[in-house]
Amino acid sequence: MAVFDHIATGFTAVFTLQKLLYCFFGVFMGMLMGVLPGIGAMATISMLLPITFYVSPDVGLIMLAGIYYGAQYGGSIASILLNLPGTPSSAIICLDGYPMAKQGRAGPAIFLTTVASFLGSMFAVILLLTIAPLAARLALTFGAADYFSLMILGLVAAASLARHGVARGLAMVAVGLILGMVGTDVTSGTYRFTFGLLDLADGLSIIAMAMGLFGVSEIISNLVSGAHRRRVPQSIAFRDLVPVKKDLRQSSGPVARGGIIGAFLGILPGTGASIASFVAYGFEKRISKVPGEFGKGHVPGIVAPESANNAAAQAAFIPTLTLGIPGDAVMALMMSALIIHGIQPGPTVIESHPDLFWGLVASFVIGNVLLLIMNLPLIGLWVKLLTIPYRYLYPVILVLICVGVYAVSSNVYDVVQVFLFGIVGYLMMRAKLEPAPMLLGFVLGPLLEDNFRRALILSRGELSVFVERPISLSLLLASAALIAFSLRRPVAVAADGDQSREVSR
Amino acid sequence: MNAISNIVIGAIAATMSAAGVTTAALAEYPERAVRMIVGSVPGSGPDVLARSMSEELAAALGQPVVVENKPGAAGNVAAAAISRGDPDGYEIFIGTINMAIATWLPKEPPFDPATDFAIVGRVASIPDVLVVSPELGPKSIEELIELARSRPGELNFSSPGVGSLQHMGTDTMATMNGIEMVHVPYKGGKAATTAVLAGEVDMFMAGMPPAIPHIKTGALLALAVSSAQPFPLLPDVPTFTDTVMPGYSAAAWYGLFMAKGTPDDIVAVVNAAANQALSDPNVIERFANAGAAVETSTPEQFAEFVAAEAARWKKNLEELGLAGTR
Repeated sequence: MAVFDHIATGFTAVFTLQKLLYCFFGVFMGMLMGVLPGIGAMATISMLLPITFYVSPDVGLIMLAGIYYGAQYGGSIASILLNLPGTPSSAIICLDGYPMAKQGRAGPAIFLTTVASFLGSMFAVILLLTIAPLAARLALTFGAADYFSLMILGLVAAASLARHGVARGLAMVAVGLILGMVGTDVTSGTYRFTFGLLDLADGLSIIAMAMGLFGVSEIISNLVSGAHRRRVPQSIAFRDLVPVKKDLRQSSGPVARGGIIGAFLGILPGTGASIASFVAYGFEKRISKVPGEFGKGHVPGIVAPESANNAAAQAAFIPTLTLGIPGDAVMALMMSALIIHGIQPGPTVIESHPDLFWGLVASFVIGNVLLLIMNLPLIGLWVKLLTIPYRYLYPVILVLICVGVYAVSSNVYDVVQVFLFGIVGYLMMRAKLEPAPMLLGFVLGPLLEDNFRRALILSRGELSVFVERPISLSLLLASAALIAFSLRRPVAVAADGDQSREVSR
Repeated sequence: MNAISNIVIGAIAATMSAAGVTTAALAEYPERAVRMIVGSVPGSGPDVLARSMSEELAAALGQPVVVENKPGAAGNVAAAAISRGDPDGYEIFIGTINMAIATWLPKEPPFDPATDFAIVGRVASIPDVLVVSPELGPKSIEELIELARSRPGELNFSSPGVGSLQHMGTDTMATMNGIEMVHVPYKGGKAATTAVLAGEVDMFMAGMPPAIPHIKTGALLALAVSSAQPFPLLPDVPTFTDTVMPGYSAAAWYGLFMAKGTPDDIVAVVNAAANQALSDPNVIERFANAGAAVETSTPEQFAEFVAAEAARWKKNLEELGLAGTR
């Protein structure tokens, strides 16, 4: 069977000392940088890109790819421990991961996200091995109208992100959509809400927003409330670091669904890991029997998005390599590295460079196993971070945030944004308004608007285009079904008696 | 009297020490690492070129060259910051044709590319190439014009943004040939290329870097290039000027700029080092892989060229009614 040939080709290609070392180096750097707030895969890859000039392209690509998915593992750790998303795609992990840490369950939370990361990645790898070229062609059939309908589905799933009522959630989605309008309007080319500042021409910074709304606001709130003087004892005995049976039972379904959602969104150019994790969370909450438990340290709330963002990160290689269409900025960077080496990504890359393609896929398996092996023993160490007194920890975190945000754009203006969003985030917290729906609105807004207007330009103003295209129609029907489903069984007060609540103070 | 003489003496001393500092700076330039600023994200066209030549530039300068990305407003956030920066020669900006285009879009231009910089030299040029899907039908640029003429207002063309070189180029082609097409702007050249691959739009006058991989694999058909002579990387593709746009040529150019007021001697040192780096076969090959042809110049030649480009695109944007609208 062809799949086994591919596996054989891949592993034969990748089992050289040099490639294994670069793979290890890549995932290690990625994981480390993912843990550090603000410094994500993008900054790390651009710093290490020059190294690839001195090695063969397949080796370089294995390293760069390792950084990319390694960062997805690391990103959730700071979310769980400190409510500080290491990468925008792990912002959603804060919602249930941080409450788990507050309940003294940081260890199991990291354990579960690590395993979910691994399983999500493996799901996407299987997809790569079996239907990569087919999946890539699916991505090309998505037009502007289809993207619009997909974003609608994302928003419907997202409306359930709110913990304090749907109205507040929708209000914050709307705020996010409005903030997403800042910057250059693609369709007309005009600047909107930039107040004459050239620095706002490309809009607000997603990283600054995620760091400010979650991390900085949490620090302010802890300082104001004096919570920094009361600390939650975290046992680091091995018994307390591993999840209990119930956690595992709760995880299997969400991990599988998260993997499917992530892999699907990862294939589509322009969506990416952030949206995948948000949608997976929203979807899980919609179909949950106990939606009220989400946001209080509910296990499916961390494993579904974690599985999704890793699956998306891995699946994003499909359109990049097989079509030469990079899904996000990191993929564009990866593609440039290949082009500098004279390799043209495209439909022929699998035939013309089988060692490179299948070797890369095989390196995903090895890299993910390495990450799993590296991460599990480190859990105790990560949890120990929480025993550092906040008077040392907070200044360090704030400096790291500033460095990280500055490293992305070399622009002091983005650092200012972090602090503005930090203050806004704190005020929102006081008013029981939540940052997650706002962040999602901000991410989806520009995609929603651009594709809506583009679809109408292409259809010469005919709104019927959204129901005439089969993909768009089915996505709209799916959105309607999701709404109907949750109306039939409204998001009610949660059934109590959940273990996580018994431990909570 | 005493006070006045103090001021005079102080002024003379200040002048002399300032002069002394300048000479000392010159004698030793560069004495520490030089930063090469890119106005767009890692992996973008100028970023690839900067990273492709940074090692060789470092060797020629005898100091490390660190590439930094400062994205925003099509590179003009970084350009505006550079023009106001310290004129000490430690920040080299890899500027693009957007400095001569996007600067005219805001109501108050952030800078004048011809007068607000120390202009160092040209690095590369990348002409545009008009691509269509092989399934569209036309196999030559003349056939495409025929098709567009027979179906007025029906064909769509993509662009990387309103007021981009590619938008204006396609618009000029339509005007010169009396055809009517609909403009569909995308966010960046890669998205605009994908739109042609997916069949969402009919054509794209693309920058080389996003288009060339697909031309090589046959997924896209190249009908014409915007350079004055056939482009070395696509020798069989005719030029616009020889076919449907007589007298038209345009190319995205890349060059090095430093802060206004940087001493001429430092500019000369960087120009010589850049030209040396650009003669390295490895650099030439990496540029070619990215779809760019190396071009070198003296500071004076490039300054003259930038001034001409600034005037040309300002006029073009005014004709389109886009200048000063943002």
